[in-house]
Amino acid sequence: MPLPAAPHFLLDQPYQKRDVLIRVGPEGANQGGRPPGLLLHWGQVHDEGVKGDAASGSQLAPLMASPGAARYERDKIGGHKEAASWIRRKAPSTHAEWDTTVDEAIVAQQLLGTAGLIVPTRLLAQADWPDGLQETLDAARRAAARHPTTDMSVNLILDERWIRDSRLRRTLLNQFTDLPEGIGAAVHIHWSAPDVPDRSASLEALRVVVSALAGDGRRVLLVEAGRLGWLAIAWGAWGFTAGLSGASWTRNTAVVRRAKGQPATRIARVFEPNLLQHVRQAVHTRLLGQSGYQPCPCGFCQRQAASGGWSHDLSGQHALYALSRLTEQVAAPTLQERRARIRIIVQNAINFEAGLSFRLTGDSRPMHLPEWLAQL
Amino acid sequence: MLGTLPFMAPEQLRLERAVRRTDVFAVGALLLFVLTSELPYIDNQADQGLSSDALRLAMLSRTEQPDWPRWGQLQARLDQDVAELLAQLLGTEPYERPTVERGIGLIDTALANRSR
Repeated sequence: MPLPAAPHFLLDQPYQKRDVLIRVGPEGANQGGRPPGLLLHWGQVHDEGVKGDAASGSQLAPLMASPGAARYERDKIGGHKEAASWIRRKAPSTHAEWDTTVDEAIVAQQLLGTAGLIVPTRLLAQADWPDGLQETLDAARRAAARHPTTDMSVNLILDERWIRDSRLRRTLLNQFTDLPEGIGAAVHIHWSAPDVPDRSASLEALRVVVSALAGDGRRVLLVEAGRLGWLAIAWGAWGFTAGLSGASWTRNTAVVRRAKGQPATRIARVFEPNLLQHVRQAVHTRLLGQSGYQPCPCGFCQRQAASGGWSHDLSGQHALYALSRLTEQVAAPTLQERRARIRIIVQNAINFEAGLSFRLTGDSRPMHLPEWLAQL
Repeated sequence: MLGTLPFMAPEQLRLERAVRRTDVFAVGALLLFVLTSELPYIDNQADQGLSSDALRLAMLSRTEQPDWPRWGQLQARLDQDVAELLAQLLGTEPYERPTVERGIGLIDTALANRSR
């Protein structure tokens, strides 16, 4: 099935609460919008779960599947159900092992009827420069020859140093763009800390990588990138995915760890499209009365308000819905127009914060916005 | 390392693996030489008498300097469309250059425009 035109937002298939996630699809359609897509994860979910969600996630489009894994040699995922065949073996290293892994993963995607094919790889650490990258891309090159298709992407799972270090980044871009034309990149960066992606040096590095790949005519999907992936649409990214697990759906909750033996405390947070930022629940309540505030029309927010209590699931679903709507808002035929629309939304968020009658502080403050604007 | 040193691309000077777009650079270097008698990272006076190793290092250091290739001087000797074509073919990094197929297309277009 061919992939649709940019831009696209996809949900990540988490191990837990998959049924909660899939409800975001119909909500988008109910509001007259386009439902998000779904990226299945063989590296995170057992084979039965991937196949089950592929069948039940039909309201989410496009449906794609990430076969790559940061860790191999796992018989079971979640302790009791079998991982996909290639995840159960050790990470490929010889030509024959690579080709077997790639072929099994591609056939599995074809059986699911996914839009486009993603070539599996493994996590590339700094020590994999340059031979590990070369081995991975050589496997992708052979895969493209064996499975000719117009919608093939390579799953690049990278330690952040691959994009931060100019020498590694240069090799990455030079070697990746040597692949046959049309092969895209499903880029999953393993950041060293949660707030690293919002720092200027990381943003700049990511901008260079996405711009170079997109400028070379490559489709770029940023896996588990959250709101940063939305920003990357301005640099030419085809799409992005939200992030895994109920605790990290675009970081809708912060977890405060207590002393050993004490339960962790989850801090209620709400994703505010007006600020492109998660804010604490109490801050969200204050924002509702502010001039220029645009309330979210989604059913998740309505149920949250009607319940009188607090549901982390509803907050997470709202965050996914909101990112999906933000992506729709910047859909335009040309990259120039998409970038202009993103710039307007970022500038509006800065203006909205500046016009508030109170100051945002701590983790509710959208400190990333000026950095974002500088990259547009 | 295979090839003629003065025509080599930056990635070859760094002793990295050559890619298809390394050939695009070589074509650009050849065109530049035919049209101007200059090469992208060669200083005809300063490089005289250098050993191969010394020449490679001299060229390598120039690949990291923003004023090389010396477009300021070269542009005065080239038509604008040719200068733009060469700037693309001689991108410092392979990912900054067109693919072989696109490079051929750019050269064809430039030649077609010249023959009108």
